[in-house]
Amino acid sequence: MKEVLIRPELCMGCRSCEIACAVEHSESKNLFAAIMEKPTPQKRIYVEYVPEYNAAIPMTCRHCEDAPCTTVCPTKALKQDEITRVVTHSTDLCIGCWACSMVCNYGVIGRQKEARVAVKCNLCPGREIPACVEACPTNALVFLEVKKLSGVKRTEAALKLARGMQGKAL
Amino acid sequence: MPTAVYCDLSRCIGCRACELACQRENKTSRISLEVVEGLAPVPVSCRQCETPLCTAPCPGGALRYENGRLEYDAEKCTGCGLCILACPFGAAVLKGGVIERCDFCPEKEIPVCVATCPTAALFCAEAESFGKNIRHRNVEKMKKILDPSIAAGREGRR
Amino acid sequence: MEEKNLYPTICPYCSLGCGFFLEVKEGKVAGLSYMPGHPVNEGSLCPKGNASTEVLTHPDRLLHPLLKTENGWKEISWEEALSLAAAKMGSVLQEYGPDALAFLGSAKCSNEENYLFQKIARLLGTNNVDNCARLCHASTLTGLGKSLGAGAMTNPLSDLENSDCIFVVGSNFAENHPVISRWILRAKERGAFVIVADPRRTPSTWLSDLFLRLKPGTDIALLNGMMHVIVSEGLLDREFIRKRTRDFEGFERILSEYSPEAASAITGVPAGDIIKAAREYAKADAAAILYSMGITQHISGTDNVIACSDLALICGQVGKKGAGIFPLRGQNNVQGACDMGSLAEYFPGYGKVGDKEAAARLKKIWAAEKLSEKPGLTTAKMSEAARAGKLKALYLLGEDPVNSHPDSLNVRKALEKLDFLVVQDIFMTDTAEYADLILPAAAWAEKEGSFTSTERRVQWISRAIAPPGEAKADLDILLGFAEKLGLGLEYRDAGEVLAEISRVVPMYGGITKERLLQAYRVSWPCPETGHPGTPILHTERFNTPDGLARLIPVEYRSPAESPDPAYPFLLTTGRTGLHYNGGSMSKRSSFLLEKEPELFVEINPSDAQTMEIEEGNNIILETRRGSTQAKARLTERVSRGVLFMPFHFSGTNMLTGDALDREAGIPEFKVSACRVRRV
Repeated sequence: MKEVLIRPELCMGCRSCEIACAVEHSESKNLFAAIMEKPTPQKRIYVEYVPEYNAAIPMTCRHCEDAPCTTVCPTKALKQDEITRVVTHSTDLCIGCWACSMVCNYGVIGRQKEARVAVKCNLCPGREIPACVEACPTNALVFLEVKKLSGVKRTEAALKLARGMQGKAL
Repeated sequence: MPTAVYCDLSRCIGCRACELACQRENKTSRISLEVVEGLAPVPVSCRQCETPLCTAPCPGGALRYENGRLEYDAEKCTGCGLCILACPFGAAVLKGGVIERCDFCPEKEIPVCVATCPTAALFCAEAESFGKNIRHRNVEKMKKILDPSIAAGREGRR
Repeated sequence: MEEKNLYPTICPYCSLGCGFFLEVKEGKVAGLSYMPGHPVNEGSLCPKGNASTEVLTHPDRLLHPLLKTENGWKEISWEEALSLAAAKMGSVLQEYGPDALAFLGSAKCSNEENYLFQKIARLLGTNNVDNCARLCHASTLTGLGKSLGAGAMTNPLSDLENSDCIFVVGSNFAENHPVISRWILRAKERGAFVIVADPRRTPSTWLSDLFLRLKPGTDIALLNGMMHVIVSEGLLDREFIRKRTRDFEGFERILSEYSPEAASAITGVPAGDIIKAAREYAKADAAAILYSMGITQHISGTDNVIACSDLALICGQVGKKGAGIFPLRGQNNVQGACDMGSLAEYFPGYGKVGDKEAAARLKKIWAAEKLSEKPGLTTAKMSEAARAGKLKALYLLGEDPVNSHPDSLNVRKALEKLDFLVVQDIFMTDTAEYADLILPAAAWAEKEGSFTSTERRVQWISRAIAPPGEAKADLDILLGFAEKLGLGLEYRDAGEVLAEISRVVPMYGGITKERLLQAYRVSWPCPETGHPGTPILHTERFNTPDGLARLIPVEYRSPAESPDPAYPFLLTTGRTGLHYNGGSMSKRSSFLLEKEPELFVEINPSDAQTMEIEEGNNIILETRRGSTQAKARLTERVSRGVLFMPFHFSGTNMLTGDALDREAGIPEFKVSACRVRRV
C-alpha cells in the first residue's frame, strides 16, 4: 500500500502540510471558513523544528504493521484495516483514556479539545493523495509505496555516482 | 484542565514505588503494577477518561464528569460495583462498601506516585502535550541525517 | 493548615543516600514528603524508601533493656544493663585476654557510632572489630585499594548522566538501587550505550542495549576477554597507560589466553557480544563501570574488582567526568563504617593495622598507651573462633548474622557457644534470640549523626523524633558502656565525635557538624576546613605512593563449588526490589511484606518441567551445608541449571557456603551447588 513517507532533507519547515491537514479535516474544507469553525479543525501531522541545523522533520502516523495503539484501545475506537493497514479512529467510540497516546512510538495521536477525543491521521479517505502530501512544496512528503521510494533513492544515488565517475574521467 | 497520570513504558523498571507511595498516602494502593510475562512492567491506574464509561451506570451520581474532569463523591457511593464492571482498566477497587479510585492527590502539588517514580516514567501531563515529548525524542534520533556534513551534496537541499 | 514540621533526613535503606522530609506532628511521624532539591534522587524514592517510616512506629520495637533469664526475657534498667555488659566483658578480658572479645559494628549506624565502637574495641586491646562490609564490599576495599589506592566510588552517581557507555556487571540496580536507573536513563536519552552482564534477566537488563548472560562466577573471563579485544584491536588509551599507570607489560601477556572465543567458552556469552561490548566500552568518550555484589561476593572477589579496574585503566576511563568505577554499596553507611576503621585490618582512615606510623599517630590522638598490632578476626573468622571456644564474648551493634551471614547453621552454633552476647538493635532479630543481653537502640530518625553514602557524600541526619520507650541513641549507649568500663571517653554529642574524627581520618579533615548542617552534603576527601570536597577522585594522581595506578593481571578461577551429579544446580542469591538484606526492617513493613510475603526460588520452566515442579509448589533445596524449603517461581529470568533465591528470609543462608576470598575474607554467597526435590 501507499503511505506518507518523509524525506526530511527536503523539508524547509513551512508547515503547509499542517494547515492543509487541518483544513482537510474541517467541515467546510476551506481555509478561511475553517478558522472560524467550532470545534476548531485540528492537524494530524506535526512539523518538528531542529534548531541546530535550522531544519525541520514532519511527523505523522506511520500506520504501523502491528499498531500498538489499536491493541491497547479498550473500546476498539482505533481499528486497523486488514488489507490497507490504515489505522482509523472512531470519535463515537473513543472514551478519551489516552492509552493510545501513551504507547504510540511517534507521538502523533493528538487531542480534540472540545470533543475530548483523540485525533489522528486517517490518510484522507476520499482523496487520491492525502492533503499534506499535496500541499508540500518541496516533495519532502511523498505518497508512495516504500519500495517505490527506495527505487527513487536508488536512481538518485546512481545519478550521483555516474556524475562522480564522469568527473574522474575528465 | 483534564490531566492524568501517564506512563512512559520504556522507562518503567517495575520497582513498585508508585504502589507503595499510593498505599502510604491512601492506605490502599490505587495504582497497581502488572508485569506482563515477567518482562514488561505496566503501572495501571485510573486513566481519567474524558468520556468515562464508569459514570454511565453509576446510580447515585457518585461518579460524574464535571468541569472537564472526572469527579467522585464517596458520600454518594452505594458500593454497587457497576463502575467496576464498566471500567475497561480495572482501576476502581471496592473497599469498605465504597469505591476507591485515583483522586490525583488533591492536597499535593503532584500525585505521590509521580513524585516518587525513580525513573520519572510516570508523569502528569495534558493529553495534547505529551505526544510532543515522544516526537522530540524521535527527532533527536533522526536529526543526524540533517547534519550538513552528511546532507551536503544531496539534491534539492536549500 | 495543620501544625506539621518537616525534617530533612536521609533514607535508612540502601547506600545511595536519597533525601526526603519527615513530616512530624506532635512528636510523632505523620508521613513523608519528597525532596526534589536533593542531588541524588531529585525527590524520587524507591518502594523501600516509601515504606521507611513504618519502621519508626512499629509495635515490635524494643523498648527496654532485656536480660535473658530462665523464665524468658526480663526488663532491667539501663544502669543494670550497662554495668552487667561492662562487668561481663571486663571479666572475659581479665580471664582470657583482649582477643577473646569481638565487636561487630553496623553499617546501619552513623560514622560517629562506628568510630566510637572501634575505639572502644581498640582501647580494650583488640582489633577484633568488623562490620558487614566484610560480606558485601570487602573485596572493593582490597581490590580498588591495590589498583587505585582508594576503595571507593570514583564519581558521583549523578555523573552517570554524562556517560556515553555504561557497563553494569553483577548488579541488579533496577531492583536494588532503583534511583540509579534515573541517571542511567538520562544518559541513554543522550545516546549512551548500556551493557548489562548478569546471569539473570533482571529489570536492569530491560534498560540495556546489550545483555551478556554469563554463567555465575565467570566475571574475570568476561572482563579479560573484553580486554583482549581492546588490546588486540588497539583501542587502548596508550597515553593514559604511559602517564598514569604501571606494570602494563606483564599485564598484557596474561590476556593472550582470553581470546573472545576462549572467554565465550567459559562464560557462555557469545564471542560476538564480548567483542561488541569491548568496542562500545573502549570507543566511548566517557565510559563508566557499575558493579555490585555479583562481582564482590565470590572467592575471587578481589580479583573480580581488580579486573573491573584494569578494564577502566587501560581505556583511560578513570578520573574524568562521566567515567569511573562505581561500586554500588549495600548499606546506607557501609562506606562510612569502613572509613571509620570498623574493620579488622584497618585503623580509621585506612591506616593498616601493624603499620607503626599509623599506630603511633592514633596513639597520640587517643592518648592510648598501646594498641594491638595484630590484625583482628573478620566476621567469618569470628564465627570460627567462637565455635573453637577461643572467642568468649561478642558485642553486636545492629547486626543479624543468623540471617545475613553464610552457612547460618554454623553461625547459630557459634552464637550458642559464646559466654556472653550483647545485641544492640531496634528489633528482636533471629540473632537476638541468642543474646544474653539486649539493648534497645534508636532508629535513624531518632538520633543524630553523619552518614557516608556510596558516592562518598557525607550527610547529616538530625533528630526528628524521640526514640520509643527507653530506647536510646547508639552513641549514648556506647558512651555509657565505655564509662562503665572506665575508658574515660567524654563526648557531649555526635558533633564532638565528628570533630575528633576530622582529626583522625585525613579525608574527613574539613568535615564538621556545622558544615554538614549548612549544606548537609560534602564528598570526601575534604582534607581541610575550606576545602569544597572532591566529587571526582583520581583526576590528577592516584592515591598510591607514586601516584600511579597499578595494572594487576588476574586469572580466572572457577568458583569454590561447581555443580556436579550429586548437586546439579547452581544456586545464586541476591536481593529483591521490595526487601532489604536480613529483612529485620523491611519484613516489618506491612506494605512490603504483603507484596513479597515469603521465600521463593526462581527456577527455569524447562528445569521445572523435568522435575514436575509447578508454579507455587513448595520445593526443598539442599546443599552440602543445609536444606530449606521455598516456593517455586517458574521464570525465564534464570537460565537452565541456575536457581536464584533472595536472602531476606532465614532459609537462604543455611544453604550458602563460607568459602572465602583469601584477601578480603568475603564469603562466596553467589555460587553454591544445590539439588532440588519436591516436598
